[in-house]
Amino acid sequence: MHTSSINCSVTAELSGAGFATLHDVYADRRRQYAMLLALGFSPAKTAMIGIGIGIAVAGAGTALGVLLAAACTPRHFAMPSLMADLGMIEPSFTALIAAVIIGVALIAVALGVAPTVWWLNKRSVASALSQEGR
Amino acid sequence: MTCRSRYLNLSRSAAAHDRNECVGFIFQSYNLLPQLTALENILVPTLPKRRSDPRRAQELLDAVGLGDRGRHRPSELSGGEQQRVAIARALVNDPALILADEPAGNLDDENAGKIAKLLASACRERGKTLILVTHDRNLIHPVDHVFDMRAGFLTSIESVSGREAAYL
Repeated sequence: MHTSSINCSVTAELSGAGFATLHDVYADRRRQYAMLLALGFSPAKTAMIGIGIGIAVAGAGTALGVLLAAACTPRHFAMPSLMADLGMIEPSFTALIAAVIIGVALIAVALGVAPTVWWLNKRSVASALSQEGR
Repeated sequence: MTCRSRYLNLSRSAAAHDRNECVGFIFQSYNLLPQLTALENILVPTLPKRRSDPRRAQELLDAVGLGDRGRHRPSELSGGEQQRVAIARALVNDPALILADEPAGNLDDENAGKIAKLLASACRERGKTLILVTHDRNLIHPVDHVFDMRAGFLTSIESVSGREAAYL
């Protein structure tokens, strides 16, 4: 009981810290996009910059993850627990798995960029800058 | 509002294009991009037109007295220096109108006076119209006309050079 309380507290603390960090990152990015709009970038161009950065970050993360997985994956491993009876399994990396990884990365980009694009299109540049993107 | 005989009642995209071409903005909080150097920040408004001219940016940087700080990022510059970069950025596209919103609001008195004088002289030399919004009456000396507003209403118009005033 005592341990689970500590675990819950730590999880809540980490979630709060993560949320605060993400909020600051988003607010900072929004302010920078509003700045670009004020300086004469079109909303479409500004959104494309955001999407481009998102895809670049997601692409780099995916590539790094694939490299790490390729470097660290054992050649053979046995599934634990209930699937142990299936015997040894050969890990494989197919086109389907690559497509799923790319798809997940693109969905993450879309989910990450959508609120910013919506926010920039719904609010005036002046209000975005006057509230410093928050 | 009109700019070069055209109404600015436009779509967001067309309005952005006209903002880029006709208006230079100077903000209270500088609003420089922290990832870019001073020189790159000055070039940002030229990107939509794909007419970046680093030599012109360097000239403007020289004009605001920061010729040797072009490679520095905003975090490596003082508040006054950042605002000078913002002034150079506002002038880089050669806009007809400069809008300055409390340009010295975050600076001490000495730097505030310097920035106001630099801004006014830079605009006067290049034949720009400057609209400067401020709460600090000490900053209004370099300008030609003072439009006094209280609670959202225009209360007086004063011609500083001729010392003429009209109270509304």
